[in-house]
Amino acid sequence: MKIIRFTFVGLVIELSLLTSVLMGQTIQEVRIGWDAYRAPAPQVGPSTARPADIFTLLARRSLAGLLPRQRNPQISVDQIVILTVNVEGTEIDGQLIPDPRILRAEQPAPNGELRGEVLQHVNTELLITIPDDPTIAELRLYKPRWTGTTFVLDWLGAIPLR
Amino acid sequence: MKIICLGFQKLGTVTAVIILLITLTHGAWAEPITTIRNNGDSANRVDLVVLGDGYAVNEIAKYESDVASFVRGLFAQEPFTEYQRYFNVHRVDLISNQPGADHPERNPPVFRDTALDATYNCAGIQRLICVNIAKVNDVLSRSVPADQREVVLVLVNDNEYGGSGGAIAVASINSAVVELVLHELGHSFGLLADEYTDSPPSCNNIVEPPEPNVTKETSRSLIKWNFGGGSPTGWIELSTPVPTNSITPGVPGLYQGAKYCPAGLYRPTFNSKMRSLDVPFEQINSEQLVKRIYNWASPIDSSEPSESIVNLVSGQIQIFDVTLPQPLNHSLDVTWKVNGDTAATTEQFIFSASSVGSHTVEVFVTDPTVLVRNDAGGVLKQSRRWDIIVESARKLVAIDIRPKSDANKINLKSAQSINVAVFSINGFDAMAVDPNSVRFGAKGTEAVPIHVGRRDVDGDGTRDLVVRFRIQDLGIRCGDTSATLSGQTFTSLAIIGSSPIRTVQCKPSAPQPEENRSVSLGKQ
Repeated sequence: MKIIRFTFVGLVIELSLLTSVLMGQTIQEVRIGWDAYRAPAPQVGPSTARPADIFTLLARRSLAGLLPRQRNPQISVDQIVILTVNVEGTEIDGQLIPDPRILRAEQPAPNGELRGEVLQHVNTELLITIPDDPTIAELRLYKPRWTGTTFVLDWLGAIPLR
Repeated sequence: MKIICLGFQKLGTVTAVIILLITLTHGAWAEPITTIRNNGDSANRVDLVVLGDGYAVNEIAKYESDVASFVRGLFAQEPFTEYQRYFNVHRVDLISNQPGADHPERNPPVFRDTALDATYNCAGIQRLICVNIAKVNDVLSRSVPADQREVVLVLVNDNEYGGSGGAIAVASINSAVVELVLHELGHSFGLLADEYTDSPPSCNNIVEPPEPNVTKETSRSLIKWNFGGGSPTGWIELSTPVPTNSITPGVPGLYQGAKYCPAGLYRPTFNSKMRSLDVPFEQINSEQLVKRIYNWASPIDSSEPSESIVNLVSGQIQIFDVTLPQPLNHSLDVTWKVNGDTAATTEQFIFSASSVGSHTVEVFVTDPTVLVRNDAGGVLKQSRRWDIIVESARKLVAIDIRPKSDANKINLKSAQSINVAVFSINGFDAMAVDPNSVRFGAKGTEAVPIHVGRRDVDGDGTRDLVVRFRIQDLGIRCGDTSATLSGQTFTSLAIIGSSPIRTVQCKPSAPQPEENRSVSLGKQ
């Protein structure tokens, strides 16, 4: 479990890795299958879902381009934190991406106010880009959880890339 | 895929396989992608990519029109209108075998063979459209560069109201769905909370929510959208009571009911797009959205010169400039500072190297938008600094090494000295040279004079300066072909002059016989 401190209620966080800009001429695109829950339906409500969190490396390739760059990443519970770790166990890149499990079903109620629910995809995918670094050993995935004063990163899993 | 099939039919197997391999290698499977709003380099823009589903091959024109219409709708709402030039929009021309989308809820059920498997009644909710995430990723991976996927929207060719939010926004072409997509962008792009009170999802008013538009705090000075207790950094005017019971739209305050809780949590305005559709985002949500736009786009697109250290000669000028993204109805503030003092407020600044020494030039760009009152992360600002080194201009002077000799030979083994003449010629008066400043050698910085004389060396009737240096001080090595003299006049004008040389006595010492060295080593 990793703890990220935040400096302002507007959620400016201090995880310096997230602001790292590792821009190169080539990058790696990694595609990961994520069996998130054991559930009888392809989309479920969070209360009925039992986490499975089985990750499968589906594809990995180098390609020309630049890593998407965020100037001031803000963490939220609707995102996933992905850390790229090298063979020495050093975190060389960090990024926040939207949680691909989330499926929002919202529509206007008769009084004009919205109503809805937040469902979860039982099976989904991550399509991410990371530095094209031959020393990369694995990806580590975390889910931010808000405690009321700080974000705690709950471990989701790791994907070996060696 | 049709092109490849034709290849197999018309060509031999080997040729066809080669074509297939080349095709796969070069990504010819990629769908056509058209940038329909190109506002700059994707490295400094928010890139929205639109994928169409349920468009048959004969509906490309309709698809183009639907996308254009939908995108117009998105950018018709603030703050996206004001910041529309911070976005690029890419349209992927994705062809489906059949038009429309699945409607398993209908009787009889309707199923369509579409590129992304869009289906209504997802999870049993009639208006909820789901798409096949793997197929979306297939398209993104093969057709859309990695830095052009910040926001992904699937547009479904079906007139019935429907859509969904999440990492991938999905919308039918029903014009009312634009509002829903804007709300969903409030979540996925803006990281905003719902401000409506209906549950589920479950209400949690025990702890302070993390989102910037919901709070349980009731103390005016501690409300997260009222930083500083009010204007100019906070949004709640002192005349607005807290909590706020007004039903007037667009008045920031503290309104009870938010994030699935009818009580115990508060929202910033009576209504907003995070609570209802067909209303504005309002101030606090707009502020957050602007800051999120600036998460991806810097207020400086580029700046020149690219080098951070600039070397100039006194009297030269250097043009500095910045290119900036352009909000629709206001401009970014630019301030140039030289050595900390404001020098200009335009996008281009001309630095005049009038003073020898080190200087700094900095440019500060800020978005003064009234939409943001508290930029704690400093994302609406960007600066750049250059270090300037100004050297004095140098007057080229004519010199002669060994004035009495035509050959500028320098015997590097000599313990003697060598004369160098600085001529008074072409209006230059060598008598103005400060002898104490003169140096001579391989680079013109090495030897100091050991004697200075003044006489007419070249017989033109004007006195020349003759300076003597020790050869061993010159720093000249065998094979060097020129030597340089530098210095300055009594009025601080730098001078420099060079002349060809020929080094002599450069043969290396004969090596000792191998036999002797062996003996010598053997005695140790």
